[in-house]
Amino acid sequence: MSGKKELVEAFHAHLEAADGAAALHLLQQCTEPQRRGLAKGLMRRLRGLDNEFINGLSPAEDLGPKQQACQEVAFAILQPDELLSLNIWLAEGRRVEAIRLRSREWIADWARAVLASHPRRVREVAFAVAEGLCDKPDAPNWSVGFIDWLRNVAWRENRDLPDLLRERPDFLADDLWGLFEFDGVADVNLAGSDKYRKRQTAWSTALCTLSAEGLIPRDRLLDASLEALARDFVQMRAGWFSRFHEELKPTLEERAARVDRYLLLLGSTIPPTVSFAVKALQKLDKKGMVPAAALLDAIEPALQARSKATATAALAMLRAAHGRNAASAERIALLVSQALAHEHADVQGEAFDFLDALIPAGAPVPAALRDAIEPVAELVKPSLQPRLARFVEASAEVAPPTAEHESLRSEPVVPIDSSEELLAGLGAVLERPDDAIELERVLDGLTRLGTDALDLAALAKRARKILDTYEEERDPIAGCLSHLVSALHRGEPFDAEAASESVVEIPRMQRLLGLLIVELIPHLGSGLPRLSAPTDTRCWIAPEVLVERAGQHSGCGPVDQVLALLRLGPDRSKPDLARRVKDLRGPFAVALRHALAVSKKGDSLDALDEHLRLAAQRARDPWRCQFDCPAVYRSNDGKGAHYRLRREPSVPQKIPFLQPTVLLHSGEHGLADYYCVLSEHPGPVRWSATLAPGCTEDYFACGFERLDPEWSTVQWEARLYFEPLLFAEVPLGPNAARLLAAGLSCKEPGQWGMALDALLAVVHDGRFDAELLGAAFAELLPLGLVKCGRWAKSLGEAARASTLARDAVVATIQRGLRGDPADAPKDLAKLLELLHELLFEGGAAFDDPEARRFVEAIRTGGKTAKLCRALLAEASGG
Amino acid sequence: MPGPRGARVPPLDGCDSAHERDDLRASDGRGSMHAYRYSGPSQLLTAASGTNCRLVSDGEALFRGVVAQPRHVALGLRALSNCVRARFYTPPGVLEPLLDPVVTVGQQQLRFEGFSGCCSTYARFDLAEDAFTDIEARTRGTTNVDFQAPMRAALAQVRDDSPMTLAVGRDSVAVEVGGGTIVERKVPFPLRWLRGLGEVQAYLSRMEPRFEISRAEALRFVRALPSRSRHVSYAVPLGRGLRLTQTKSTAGVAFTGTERLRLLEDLLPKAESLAGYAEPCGGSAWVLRMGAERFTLVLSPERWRGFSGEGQLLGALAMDQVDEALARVQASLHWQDRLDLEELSRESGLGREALADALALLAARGHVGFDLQDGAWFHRSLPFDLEQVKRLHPRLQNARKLAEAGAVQLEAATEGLRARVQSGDVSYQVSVTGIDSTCSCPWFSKHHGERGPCKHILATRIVAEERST
Repeated sequence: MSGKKELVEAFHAHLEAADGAAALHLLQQCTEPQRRGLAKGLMRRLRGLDNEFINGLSPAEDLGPKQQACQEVAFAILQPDELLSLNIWLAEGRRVEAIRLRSREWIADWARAVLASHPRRVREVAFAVAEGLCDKPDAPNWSVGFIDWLRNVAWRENRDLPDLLRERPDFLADDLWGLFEFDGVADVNLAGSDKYRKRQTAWSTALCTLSAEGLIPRDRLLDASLEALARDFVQMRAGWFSRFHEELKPTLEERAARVDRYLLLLGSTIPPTVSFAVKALQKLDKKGMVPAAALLDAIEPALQARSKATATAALAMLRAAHGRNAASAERIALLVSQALAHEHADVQGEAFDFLDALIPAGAPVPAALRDAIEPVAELVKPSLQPRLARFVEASAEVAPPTAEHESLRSEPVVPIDSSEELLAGLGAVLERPDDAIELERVLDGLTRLGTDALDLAALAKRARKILDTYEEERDPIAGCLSHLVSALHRGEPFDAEAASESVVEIPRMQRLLGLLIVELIPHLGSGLPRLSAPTDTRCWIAPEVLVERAGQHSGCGPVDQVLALLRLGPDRSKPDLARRVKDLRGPFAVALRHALAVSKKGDSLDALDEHLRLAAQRARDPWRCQFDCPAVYRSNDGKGAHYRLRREPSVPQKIPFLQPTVLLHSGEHGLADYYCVLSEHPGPVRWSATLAPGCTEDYFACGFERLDPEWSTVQWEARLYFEPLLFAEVPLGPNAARLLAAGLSCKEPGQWGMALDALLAVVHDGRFDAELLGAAFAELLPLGLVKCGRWAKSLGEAARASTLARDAVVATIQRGLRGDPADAPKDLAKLLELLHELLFEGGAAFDDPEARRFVEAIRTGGKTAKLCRALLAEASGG
Repeated sequence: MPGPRGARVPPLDGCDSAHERDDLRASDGRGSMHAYRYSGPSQLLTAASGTNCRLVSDGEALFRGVVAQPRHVALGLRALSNCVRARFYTPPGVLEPLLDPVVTVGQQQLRFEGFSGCCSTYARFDLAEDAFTDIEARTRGTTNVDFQAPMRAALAQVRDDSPMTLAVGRDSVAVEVGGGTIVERKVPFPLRWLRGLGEVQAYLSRMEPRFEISRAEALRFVRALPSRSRHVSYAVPLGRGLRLTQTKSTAGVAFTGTERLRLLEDLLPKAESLAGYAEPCGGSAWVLRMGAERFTLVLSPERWRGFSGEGQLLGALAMDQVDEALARVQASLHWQDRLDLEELSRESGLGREALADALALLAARGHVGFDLQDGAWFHRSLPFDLEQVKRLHPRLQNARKLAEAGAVQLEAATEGLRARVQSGDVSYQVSVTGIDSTCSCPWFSKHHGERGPCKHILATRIVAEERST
């Protein structure tokens, strides 16, 4: 070929004609630099063909041969990473001829790159090796790739894995051992491969079979599995090697020959590997086959293991070692002291037993042991603290923790006072729509200041972007405000009808906000505050302020009026309020007077529209619960198990929008498409808490039903339902107690964390009611949704906060032990253990008669029975 | 799985040298600006006399010393490695993480640093002079060291009763063990590490101590942490220990992603205490004191916020006029483990504010780091062409483009600066008063300056600086 241009033209002409053979023939006459010079054009062509295929620009039957021709010659032109990016695989035929044009070094590089991209591509490299194109690469994925490859071959050909392996002596002799050196990747590894397979088709079974047949040296398998555990494998994948090791059923002699390796594994950072090593050493130790000195050198990490069984087994081995070598008592005691930091009381108890045996009563405690115990003394369980006294001096008393920060107090809402602040606020709400107070400030600012002085261009651009996202993904409040900003920026006349239509299309909660905005639009820039704008951060409106606003306003919409009434503050003691409200005129004034319990001649509630009448009645007693909830039950729907409340009277099937407090309950029917003020986004959940700040029991009822006992259906926003409970003024009612009790057993850290904060707030500001919270615990106990271990953990955390909190926890658990113990969860012992420790710590008595009857009625053995006996013995204060 | 990572760095057309290729990669703002070539793998060699921990770098031999508490050092290095191998958030277009820590040998300290794969977590393991019973060689410098799975596995087996020598630098041992074959492993140094190394120092320098708890309490706190969480939590002092709360607390340390904090768990049995630090933008630092060793974990405010994407230093980087001041400060840097600001001020002739700006810029360029324990800056020098840093920050680049395009119109203001910045078809209002800045753009509305200034504020400052000169 005379020139570069001619070469390029001829090459692409062949490819256009889908003539791979001619193109390859052409390449065979070129030098490497000439071929590389064609790379850009070839890649462009290949991408173009892909694009045509994906977008259906050309018939597939035309594109197929052209793509085939390009891919065949690609191996002679492109670099490994380019081939990988285009996903071009090596296969027999012209591709092999093409790759033969490359140097052996290049092919070795390509093989390494292909294997590094994913072990599944081992087939390609194996093909190249078989063709003599390159040597077997020294790469980790070479061995790992066989895991998947051979499994697929076995499945496709319906053969056993051992059969396939018998046919590959080279693999058994060499490559197999790579599987013990590298743990694979996320989707290709031995643990993952065997997890979902029958035992007889698993890799571990196949290797054991072949080992029994003498095809794989057993000793090497035993050693390799222990070496693998000493490597730094991912915990899940490391588990395969410990299971495999045990599947080989090593004899005592075989274990004894590897005692050093087991001891080394005690230092592993993978807890199950430490447990495995302890179990193996225990078997040897029973026969006295573990050298005591080596054991003492290595055992410390096992004593610090989180697993109770591992720590206990380690103590047992130390005990045996002590029996064999009494001279090392002091050193053993130092090691045993590490177990005092264990989180399980049983481990601590065993450690004390051992220490008492090592240092007999009356014998001096070595200074080194004292120094070792002192730092962990505070972790010793209360019931064991008396046993600590002989080893360390009593530590200085720590001042009881203060809890001043636990509760929140409502603060005045500062209105927006400038256009600049309004613009910044509007931008902030678009970006962070979960701040309900900021949303209210912005709506109020718009009403008073209007939009004439605002340059909305930037916000409108942002609003368009927000509206371009999927409706399910965007926060409804951000979406609603984006509609508003866009409309304001367009400068179109605000036609309430048209605006209403646009928001009516938006489902659920946004509609209420949308309707509110529609009502506000005619009043933009009026200079008057919005009727329903809250005056404090709990979203109440001070009654005197609302009375004043009612005198200034005219033509407020029904949503604004309803919200204003529902937000009417509970403190109605201001003098002159009755006189001032009597001077007001109109239907809203009648409703307001009723809400404030002010009578005026001629007022008739019946003459009011239904929404005003209902809102006025609700506002008169703001803390009253809308529905009675006499019982809790468990619901198992397609989304998993949830708590449910029975409501009396039952919630109506159709609820007008102007009854937002009833809307809170509409989730009861599972009406996903029903217009509901609840949402999966944080913004609406917080805003719905502000609609009627007194209807907290209704709100908590909804939150209770949305909590997730497990991860399966976790709803991240559910944690927000606890927020009102952080305010000191919000009473603890039955539904709040249910919410707390359920939250304390949730798995999702956000939910139980908030429940814990709320419980401490309730306890520390005097709202706590042991009967109420205990009743909620008793209600939930037999439902089978709570795990007592989680309750014990969260209540234990709460009890640490202060003596007040500890007493509250003790009272709650005692009041919660009601009903039939046979219905209680199996892990009830964890709750009883906490109660036992807290009673001991506080020097209190297990004096609740019903709780005692409950414990007496427990018919079980083991630890639970032991705890029951201990509790019943504490009738008179321990 | 560690693979032949050198093969993953594809050669680009028309590039003759590896350096040229690397520079080209750097130009897209994502890849690497420097590549290390290791002569062999780092190794832990056991001999009758003890253990030799040889950390191989591509530079000269920097350090060799006998470790006083081998298990402490082994656990610390493994914890650091756990951090750089971890990924707490998977962003779209995820990049291959760098697994090899950066090592700085200072006058008295040996520091290992690294980031998690998502760059949201920074770990540093500091070894003071007392961590060694004998120091045979020390040459000051900064480099990366090879740190692969076999090395990690070997470290798991180190015990306190076996003497250990720690060596950092190019080493001939790899040749001896490998039978005379030098296996070169080329590792690209990611730009996000370089950006992150600067940003994290800005966070550290603002940290304030909140608590220090004993080992036992630290163990209780960390072990009780949920395995993972996505909400902001606060660790607040409670008696002698800590309590985790979801309620905002100024007395505590805010953090997200409990799984990040659990990186400390393996080290706790060897620790003396755990100290918590907080800073105003939500970042947190956790320092485990282990005698002569210290392990510091710095968490970005959110799991999805890598330090490399923060913009705390952009304000300093935007200012061209500090170059002269920078040169004067740089002349006073001699690998000090603790920079004395008074002395530095005297030597450079810079005032307090100018010195702070210069140090911020030096941090951005990887020349200084901040030590929480000492509450002071220390000198180190990353071996890169750090002049590139300025052009590798997309936000700063965009700000310069705005400034060059004349998009900034300064307006009369009674105090500070006011400007309108035309960006695309929209005009944004910018106000700069002292260190406080506001902008009407969505970025500012969302972050309120917590992630550094937006491009409009930067552009305004650049234009104002140009006008003033």
